[in-house]
Amino acid sequence: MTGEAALTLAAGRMESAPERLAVLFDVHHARLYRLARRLSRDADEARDLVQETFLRAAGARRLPDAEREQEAWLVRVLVNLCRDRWRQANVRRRLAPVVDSREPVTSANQETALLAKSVVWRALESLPPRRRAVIVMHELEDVSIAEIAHLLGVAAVTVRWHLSTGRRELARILRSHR
Amino acid sequence: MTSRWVRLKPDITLTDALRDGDPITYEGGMVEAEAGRMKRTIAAAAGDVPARPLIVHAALAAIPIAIALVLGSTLREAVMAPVPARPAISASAAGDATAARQLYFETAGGTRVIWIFTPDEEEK
Repeated sequence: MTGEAALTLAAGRMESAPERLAVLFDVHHARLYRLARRLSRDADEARDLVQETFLRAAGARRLPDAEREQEAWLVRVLVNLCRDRWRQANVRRRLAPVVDSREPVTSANQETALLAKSVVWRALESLPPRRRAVIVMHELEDVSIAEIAHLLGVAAVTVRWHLSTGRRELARILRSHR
Repeated sequence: MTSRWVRLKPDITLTDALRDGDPITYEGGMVEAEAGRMKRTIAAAAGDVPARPLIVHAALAAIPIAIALVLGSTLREAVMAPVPARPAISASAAGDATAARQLYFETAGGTRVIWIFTPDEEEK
């Protein structure tokens, strides 16, 4: 965040909604995109998620003033959008199973470290979005449990539970691939 | 259990695998041109959102207040409604100029008030 943007936000001098949104976008889009990309299959989907999140902000009656609260608000919206899409995809999958066009995992190429990494990411995709978000934020972004709890608007104990359950689920999925 | 100890292979932990397979590492963040385009779209959308006129806000705020006032007024009337006084002149006193007359009524709280008019007192 630039100093100027911070000052502008802090002083609350922005009056027009487009300008306010533009500042909000400048401050948060990079961090939001990183999270979105790690929660989605490809860059297009991630961009879609980020745009949809900011469009929700554009339509919101009131946004928090503090930068930290704004970030939490945006992250929650993003994770909720992920969850909606995840549910829709699950319904579609149940109604019309599609063949996964990505490279199948075979026991022969599992031996390579590269594939092991891709297996982890594919396993991560199968986790519910909030759990995935907890793992991504904790493991990749080094966000503390207390901060994740604040960002997602849940208790720290819930974050710990998602973290340990997620790790167990990942381990189980990975074991089944061996 | 920390994920540092969740090993996929003897030399690969879950955290390592996540970090090494991180799409941001090899794709990078959002391209600047893409970010600029998105920013314009969002700002345009924010401009399209019609701001509610002040009168609408005032009306929305007034509705619950009006409901509360009407409810409060109705309840107050129901609770505090005065019981109509029921003045009565004692039958024994009617038509007798020398006898004491009495007037009684009940207040809303149920207190009975009895006034006694005696001819002697009236003359004084």
